[in-house]
Amino acid sequence: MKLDSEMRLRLVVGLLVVVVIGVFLAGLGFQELGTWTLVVLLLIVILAAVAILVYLRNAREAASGFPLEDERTGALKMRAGYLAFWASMYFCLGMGWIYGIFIEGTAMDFLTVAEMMFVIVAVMGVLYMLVWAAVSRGKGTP
Amino acid sequence: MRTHIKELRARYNLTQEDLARKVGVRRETILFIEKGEYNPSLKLAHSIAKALKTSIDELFIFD
Repeated sequence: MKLDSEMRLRLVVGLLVVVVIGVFLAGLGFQELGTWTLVVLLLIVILAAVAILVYLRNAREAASGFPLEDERTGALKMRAGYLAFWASMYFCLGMGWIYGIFIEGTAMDFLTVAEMMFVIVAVMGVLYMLVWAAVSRGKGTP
Repeated sequence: MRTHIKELRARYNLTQEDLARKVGVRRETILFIEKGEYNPSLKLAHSIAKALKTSIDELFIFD
């Protein structure tokens, strides 16, 4: 494994651990561990599990002497990022509409701004992961 | 787009892994190019053609 690839992988895993711990602590910091907090934590756990699987696969590839990234993986990331960006925009818009039409002005409990932020970020992460998984199997590859 | 990569690989007794190593890409990239599900850059097309001792024109079939 090349040193720069190994360092990059370690950096990604390190950052992921920091994010997971941060989100977990933030989740515990909410007034109560409600449904939405649990949903966010579940999404984060899914992301972490997938990241670890991808890390292991990449480590195996790197050990076999193949590059971790090439022009196709770069193109896939661009494509997945583009599609996930638009899907996230519609998700945010949908959340806004649902809140505006059904929830605003009622006594129904809804997410606080902090909870909403975590939900949106987690959903964006999961959307990116799903889109990346789809395009890396040749669905809409450039 | 179709390619003759598979036939040429067989001619030179190269696996997808061997070809990927020669041109410095991941195995899946060669697989997807062979299946016509990924269009390589001109640079990669040139590298593959060179590795298979042919030209880009003969390697790729533009339908």
